[in-house]
Amino acid sequence: MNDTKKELFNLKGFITRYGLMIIIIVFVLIMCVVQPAFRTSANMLNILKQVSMNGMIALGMAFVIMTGGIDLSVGSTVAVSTLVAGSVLTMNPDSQMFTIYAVLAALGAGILCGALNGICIAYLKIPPFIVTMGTMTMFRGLGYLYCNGQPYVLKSAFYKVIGQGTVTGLSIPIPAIMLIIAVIIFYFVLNWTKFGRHVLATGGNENAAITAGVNVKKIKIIVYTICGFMAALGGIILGSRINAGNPSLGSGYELDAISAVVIGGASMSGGLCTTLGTVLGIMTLGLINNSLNMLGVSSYFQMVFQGMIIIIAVALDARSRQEK
Amino acid sequence: MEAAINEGKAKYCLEMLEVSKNFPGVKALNKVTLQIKPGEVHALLGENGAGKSTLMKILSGQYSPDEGKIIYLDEEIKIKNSSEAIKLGISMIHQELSPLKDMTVAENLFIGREPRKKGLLNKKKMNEKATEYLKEYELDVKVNSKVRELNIAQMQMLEIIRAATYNSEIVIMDEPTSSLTDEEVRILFRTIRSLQSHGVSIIYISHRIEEIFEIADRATVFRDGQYIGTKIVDETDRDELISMMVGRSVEDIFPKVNTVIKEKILEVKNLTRSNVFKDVSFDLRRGEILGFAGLIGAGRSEVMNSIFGIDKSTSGEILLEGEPVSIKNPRAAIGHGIGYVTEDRKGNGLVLIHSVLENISLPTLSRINKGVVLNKRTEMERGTEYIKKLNVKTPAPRTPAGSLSGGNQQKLVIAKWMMAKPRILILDEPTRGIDVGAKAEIYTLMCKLVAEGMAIILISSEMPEVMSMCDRLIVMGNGRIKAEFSRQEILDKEITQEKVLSVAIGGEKGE
Repeated sequence: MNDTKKELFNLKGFITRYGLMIIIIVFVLIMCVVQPAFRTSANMLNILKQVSMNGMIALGMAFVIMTGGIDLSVGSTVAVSTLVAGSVLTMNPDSQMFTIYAVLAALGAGILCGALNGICIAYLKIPPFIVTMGTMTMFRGLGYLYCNGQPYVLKSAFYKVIGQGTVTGLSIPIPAIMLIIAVIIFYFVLNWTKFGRHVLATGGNENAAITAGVNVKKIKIIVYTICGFMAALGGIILGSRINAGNPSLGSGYELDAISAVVIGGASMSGGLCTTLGTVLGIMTLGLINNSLNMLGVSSYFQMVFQGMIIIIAVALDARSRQEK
Repeated sequence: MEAAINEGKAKYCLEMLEVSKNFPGVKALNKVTLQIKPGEVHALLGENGAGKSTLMKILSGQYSPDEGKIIYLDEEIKIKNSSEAIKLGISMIHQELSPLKDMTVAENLFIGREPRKKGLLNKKKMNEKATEYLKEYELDVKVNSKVRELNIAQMQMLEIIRAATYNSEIVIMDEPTSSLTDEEVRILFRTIRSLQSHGVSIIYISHRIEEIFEIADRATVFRDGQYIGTKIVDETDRDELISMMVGRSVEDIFPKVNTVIKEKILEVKNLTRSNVFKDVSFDLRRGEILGFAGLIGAGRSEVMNSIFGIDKSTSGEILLEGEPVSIKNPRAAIGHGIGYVTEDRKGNGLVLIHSVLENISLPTLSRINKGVVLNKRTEMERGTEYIKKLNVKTPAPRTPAGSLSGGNQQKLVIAKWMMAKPRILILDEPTRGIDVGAKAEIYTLMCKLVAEGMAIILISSEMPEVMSMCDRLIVMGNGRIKAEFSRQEILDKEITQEKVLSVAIGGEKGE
């Protein structure tokens, strides 16, 4: 991505653009000094694990936001995917094959949820906010129906590895590796494919995209499908971390994902998004939550703080765009 | 003309003296001067980038000048922001209109100064006063109809009336006629005269030289941020003004050359879209520029939208090189070798927040793919080639398209379609709102393209343009083809602008 490379050299542009990120890096450095527990490798790995799950969802959300849309149903999709995985695993908890089936089934469920959103948005021409607000409730309701309100308690040793395992030899958690791979794919798709350009063009000016021959309907369906798929991945990581499939999981995750993307400098009206920004947005939320926990700040105050960060990030971003 | 009125009071109501404004890397204005007499129509001329808009933004409070002073009604003033400018009596009618489309005509007229009764909105009084204003300025719309239902000309009149009834001393009009047809221009000019008779001064920015002679009393010319001079319109002529603007004399801005017209490439037979256009049939040959004249709303753009697959047609046939084709969407049209420079470059021509390069390559990304990966080097090479070919003035290929001037944005849209190497290029109002120099470049390019064997459809509401550039002229009105004229008939002066207009109106009442 040439753009980012150039901006790294353009110091002033970089500061206006990533002002918030610089503050956060400074904040992390301070945390490392004042709170010894923060800089332990155990804690760092914990942050990585936590960030991995939200990061997956945020990457999917970034694609949706790039088209000028929004997906409020990802939290419910997370719940659905933990349940689908849970139900498959309960059939035969000791089988390695069934772990693979469970993962595939959960991803399939995510794809279905996302595709349903995309089809409604592209063909019925209902605003994304409304469609996904509806499916948010619908998917969670389906989740409760699916398990009859009874959460699955999972005993599969293989499934556990996805969320809790580390790569042999290194102590890097598997979810972190998954996120890194996902980020690389995200970067590639966004910058080096026709699809990525078409996604950005759809959000930048839908009519211009249509006139230039972009199949906007197809783009929208794919984008929401990707978002559902990524939410299901997040759900698999979550479910395997806590050994459960539960219809009440994932509530509020849509807001974390949207926050991360927005903090990363993406425009809510679509057309603008960078890989670096999105990754930084994802990291910011994880680091802030973790360090505030370490400092013993109450979770009530944490909510206030997270809200403030979003507003400041968007305000900084709006200013840097005006200056351009 | 009106200059006589002003002779008695030679005093200026507004003087902008030695005003300078710098932007990073650009001297937008270098000690320019503009003096406006009360009650005059003062034309401000210059190519894009000459500094007209910058000066007007200073006057309307959007920019503050680096140097110079503004004397308004005998007092030196500093205009801090737009609302202060309006309070002082300086209003600007923007090139891009921004009315509140879902509010009524009356609500739009009184926005921000709604009549009240005991703190509540006095709707009755508002509607009464609005009716009065509309009558005074002869705008034939209902006060309670939604602005969305008006056409562009009517919306513009509404904006002007709003400015006029704010007790404005000075009304700035930036390209007010760029989206109006000749008939609508006449209505606008009546409004301007009526404003003038109320003692309002008008600063009139336009690229259409012909209009200046019709409406303006004096004209000031800028070039590259410099003041070139002020002329009394009655004492100058078109060529002098143009040479002041471009710094060289322009022999003829319509460089139409005759080309060899070859075989039929496109045939349209009885194309119909219910309630929009009916039984449209024409053919297009390689090497030919086919002009489409008519009033706005005649259905010309709508026909092209159907041919290009943006809208569906109800019945009729389209044949490409004799083969019937079904074009369901723009993708299919591009596949068949059709390019479409749409009328509205901001609406569906460009993605303004994306770079020049990304805009140019958007329709042709699949051709620069290497497998699934974009070949960015090819993209850069071809993009730069077309930026050069069309002389798009951009700091870099990665500059956002939105930061280019109007003329360069238009050239960019054309560049984008040229890179797609179409066999048929549809140009809808390709020179709207751009300066003489850029226009001439676009005309030259059109001639070059047809010489290379392309077929061009040119839609234009600017009569001299469409009549001078076409090989054949189709006139549309009320969704139908009214007449077809040959180039010979136009050259022989058998067909004049007046004739075309009367055919377009067709004896029926225009919209």
